[in-house]
Amino acid sequence: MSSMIRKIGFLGAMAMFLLMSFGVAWAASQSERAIELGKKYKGTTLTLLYEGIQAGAIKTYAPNWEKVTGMKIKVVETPFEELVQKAITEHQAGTGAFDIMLTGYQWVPDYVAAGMLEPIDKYIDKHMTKEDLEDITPGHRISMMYYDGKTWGMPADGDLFILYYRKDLFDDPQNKQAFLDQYGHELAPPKTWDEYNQIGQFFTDRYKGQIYGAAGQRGPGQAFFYFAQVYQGWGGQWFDPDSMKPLINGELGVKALEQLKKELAFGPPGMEKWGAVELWSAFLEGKVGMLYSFPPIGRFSEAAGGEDIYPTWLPMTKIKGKVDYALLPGPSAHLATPWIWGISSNSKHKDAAFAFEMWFTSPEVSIQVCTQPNSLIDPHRFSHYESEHYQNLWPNAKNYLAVLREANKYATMDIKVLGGTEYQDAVDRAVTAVMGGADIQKALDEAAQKMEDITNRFGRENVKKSYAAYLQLQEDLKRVTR
Amino acid sequence: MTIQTDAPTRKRVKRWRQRNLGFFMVLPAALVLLAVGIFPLIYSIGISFLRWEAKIPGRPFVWFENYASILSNMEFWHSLKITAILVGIAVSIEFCIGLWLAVLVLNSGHAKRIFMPIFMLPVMMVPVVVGFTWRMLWDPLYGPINQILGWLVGHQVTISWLTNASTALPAILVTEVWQWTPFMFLVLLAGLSAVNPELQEAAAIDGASEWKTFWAVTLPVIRPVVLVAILFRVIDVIKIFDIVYVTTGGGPGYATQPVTYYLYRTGARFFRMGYTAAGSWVLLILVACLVAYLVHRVGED
Repeated sequence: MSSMIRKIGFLGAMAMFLLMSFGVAWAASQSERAIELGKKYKGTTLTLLYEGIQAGAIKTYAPNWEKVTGMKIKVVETPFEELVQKAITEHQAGTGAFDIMLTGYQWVPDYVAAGMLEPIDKYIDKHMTKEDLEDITPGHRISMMYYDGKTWGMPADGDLFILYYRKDLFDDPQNKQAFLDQYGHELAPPKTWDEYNQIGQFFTDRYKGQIYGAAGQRGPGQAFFYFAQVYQGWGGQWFDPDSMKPLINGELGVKALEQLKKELAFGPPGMEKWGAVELWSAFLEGKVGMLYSFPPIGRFSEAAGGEDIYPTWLPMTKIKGKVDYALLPGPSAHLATPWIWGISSNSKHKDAAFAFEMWFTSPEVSIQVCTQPNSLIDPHRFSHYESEHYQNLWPNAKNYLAVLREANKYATMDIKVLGGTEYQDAVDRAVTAVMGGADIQKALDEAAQKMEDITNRFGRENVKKSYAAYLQLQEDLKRVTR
Repeated sequence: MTIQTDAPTRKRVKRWRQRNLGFFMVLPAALVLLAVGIFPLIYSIGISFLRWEAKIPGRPFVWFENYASILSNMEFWHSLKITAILVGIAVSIEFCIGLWLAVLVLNSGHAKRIFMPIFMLPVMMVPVVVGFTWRMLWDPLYGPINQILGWLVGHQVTISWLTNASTALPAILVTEVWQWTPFMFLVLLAGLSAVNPELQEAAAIDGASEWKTFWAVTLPVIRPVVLVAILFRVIDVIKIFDIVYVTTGGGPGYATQPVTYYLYRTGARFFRMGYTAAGSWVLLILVACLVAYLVHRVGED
């Protein structure tokens, strides 16, 4: 009897111990759980395919992971334009060279079709909590993680377009009066694209080329995002969901390209070829009155976190304390290629890769990454927007975060559809052609024809199904955020 | 016990060795060449009959579908037209300037020794570096070309050379001509140096003017050299890639996209392997026809 009691007591104690362990484990933070998981793969080397200009953050934080888990992290850097190429080439060759691939969320359908990505639902179910996921803002979570009913990667970035403007110029009493006299309304952040054009032209004229009213990126590979910002902001869609006929060459597409073309008139010379570096450099040197672009420019313009680790590839900011933020006309905010971390289907270390992904994208680590002075990673979690550290990073940081958070509600997505990388290229080429002097309607008709050819190649029904999934994501996004 | 071979056998072995030793020495290199040179060619023929795309499952055999598809693609023909323009204009200008410089330098004595290395510098540069250098020179705000034009016209010039459809192709042409004219110069100078001066003296005695002598005597003599130089340059310009990649990326739109860049995009960007292989073969056949014609002309001479 006593042995029976002892046995029951022992089993009870074991059960209590297991329950407590389980409770402790579950109560631990995402990063702590990821570390526990990572320790199981001590000695494993993970290889990451990463955009070179983004690699600073991973190189800074990977040693912390290596120290606590005993794993090794190797980063293969490549330029943005060659990320897809490199990923597909290695997959085609079946080398298994990469365990984790930095992936633009709109590339997911193409990567899935090529069999390159491992769905991560089973890992999420096993290792993550509902709270972990709900910390990611819906705009990012819905747009970036899912496609065709599965989860393909954890968001590691949050590129939403908002307006960055020089409040010193906007608040200048003489500028205000002159603008009021000229246009009959107050000088304030634009609520429509017509107002945007008026303000742009006003500053360019007023400062006689010393400061240009507004600027943007029109270089190859970047022009698409600017078209998408305006076109989708006006409610433009890429295809007719029934026939899958492209819609970009309709009235809205023409109007959107006319808008982009108008911006050249008051923008700096050579803007047609600008990428982010040229645009940001001009803004940081105080030569541009307002712009819409990727969020890191908000931090860079304040040299947030210290000038000693400021990006070496940008001029030191001359506009510290002079920048404010607003939603773009619409309001709408294009979600321009924020990154997810995709796990390669050829990886031999998928579990270890997920552990590292879970750690790096955790609230605890990602807040450090996205507030690092030279980081290109933007806020994409509620805990980021609410972080006291981030809100106090510079005097106006609270407003920056508030506007970005608000922009989530109006997020529009890249063409996250089967063949998306090619559709995007067709539109991008049309925009650069128009910026180079081509006729708008003709360029858009050509792009629409190319989109038709792409659809025919991939199979109309296949693309239609994929596009339906994309539209569903857009609907989910609207339902949850607004 | 020892085995003795008779003298005739030894001789036969020796003769066989003499005849075939060279063959066996060359065999490994020949096999490597076959593996890296011929095999990919044959393999690419095979691929050109498959619908092989990274983003579409399966690799079905589709006969000549890829060839039909590329021959009916307007972007392919547009790219071919851009290549033809580049070849026609660049090679013509390079030939004219190269010949002019060669004639100038031919009898310049010591000056020749000074100018030769200077002229050769652009040829020695890597095309990507040339592309980056000229991209900076063409820059609308900070580039020296607009600066100089500004001094000439008396106000700021901000022409966006590389992003305007009407100026981007001429900008590439200038870059290409700058880099490769010295090659034309060098080959033509070698040809001119080899002309027997007695021929020119004889023409002069007969009362021919300098221009007439050059046109009727010198040029026909160096004709084979001219054709070889043109042949080399034509093949080279057809393969133009690096400068376009760095300066315009084929844009704005498709305004400066040569056929090599088009095939790069379909193959390396969009992973349409079968289609790109077919395109490469179509291009190879066109180039082979052109080269065969030029080689035939050289042979005639």
